[in-house]
Amino acid sequence: MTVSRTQQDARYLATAREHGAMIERLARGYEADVELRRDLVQDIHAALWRSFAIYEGQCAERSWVHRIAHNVGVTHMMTARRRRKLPLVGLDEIDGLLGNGDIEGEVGERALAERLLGAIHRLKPADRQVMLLYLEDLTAAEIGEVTGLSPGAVAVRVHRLKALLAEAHTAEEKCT
Amino acid sequence: MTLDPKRAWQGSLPTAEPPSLAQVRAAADKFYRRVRRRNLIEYVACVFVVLAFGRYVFTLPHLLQKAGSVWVVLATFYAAWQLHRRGSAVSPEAAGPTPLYAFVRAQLVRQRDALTSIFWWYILPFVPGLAMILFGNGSAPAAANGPPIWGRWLALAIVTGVLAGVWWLNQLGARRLERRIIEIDALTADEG
Repeated sequence: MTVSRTQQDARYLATAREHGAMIERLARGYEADVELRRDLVQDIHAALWRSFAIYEGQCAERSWVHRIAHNVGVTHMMTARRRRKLPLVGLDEIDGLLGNGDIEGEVGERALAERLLGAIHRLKPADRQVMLLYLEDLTAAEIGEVTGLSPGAVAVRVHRLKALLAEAHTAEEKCT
Repeated sequence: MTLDPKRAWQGSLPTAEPPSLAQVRAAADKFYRRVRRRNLIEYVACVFVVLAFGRYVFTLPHLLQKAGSVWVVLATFYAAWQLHRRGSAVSPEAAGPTPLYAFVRAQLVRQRDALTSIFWWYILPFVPGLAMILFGNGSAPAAANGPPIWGRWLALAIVTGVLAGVWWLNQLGARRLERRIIEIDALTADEG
């Protein structure tokens, strides 16, 4: 079946409206620089628009959108020619999601989101994908569908992630 | 108070307006526009090479140098034709009923192949002409007053270095395109 350009446009516009905020958050997870992030968001939208020329319900639309967006995000991350201050680590190596910063006086969801973002920026691509997808409330099956990781690999990462988030939460409660 | 990380994350950015359809389409056409710009630069460079070496045909003293200049002019026309044949930019509008991804992939493969084989159609054709000019320089009647022998070797080394550099840069470009082809294949792998 061939998707006409009008159908492609309509599908893209509906999806962009629905998932626009998620795309912004995802781009933030892959790119810290504001200018480069703007380009990344544009690239994701362009890839999404192109992808609707071949989307025929191969998987759930939500998974498809995440898959396209992460594909562009990971590619961007892998090809960025910038020197990283810290080496990237896996979820099993990261020493706590709160890091070592001073959290006194920083409370609320905004502070937590910033801490999460800091941790996301330190993660290797596969773990970063899992964490971003988990935070977007995708199920383990959907995470597997988007990332191509086996159910076992997803389960291990999600388990580790939940433990880290619980640790972070306990630490924050102690400090407030 | 219990903070929910998922809620904190999802509420961390205000809902953003997606870019306009025109912007999205323009971004999707980026590859086409980049190829078109590259080719335009190449064609302008070809005009300069033809003018410069066309002039050498009349100004260089030795017959071998004149023949070499003619060769370079002809090689430039050949390279420009090959660039058009192998690497011209094809607008996404030409995709017609072909799924855009398949079209993009075909264009990437075409450009990758053009870059991979660049030695045969963009570098090698110039080698005999440049060699004739360099050798002619050594055997020209005014050679006694011309550049010393090490100068000629230096010229040869520079020309060889530039050609090797051109080849290497194009292989890097081909590898970048190859990565994009692999990405598309990975995305469409389960289409059946």
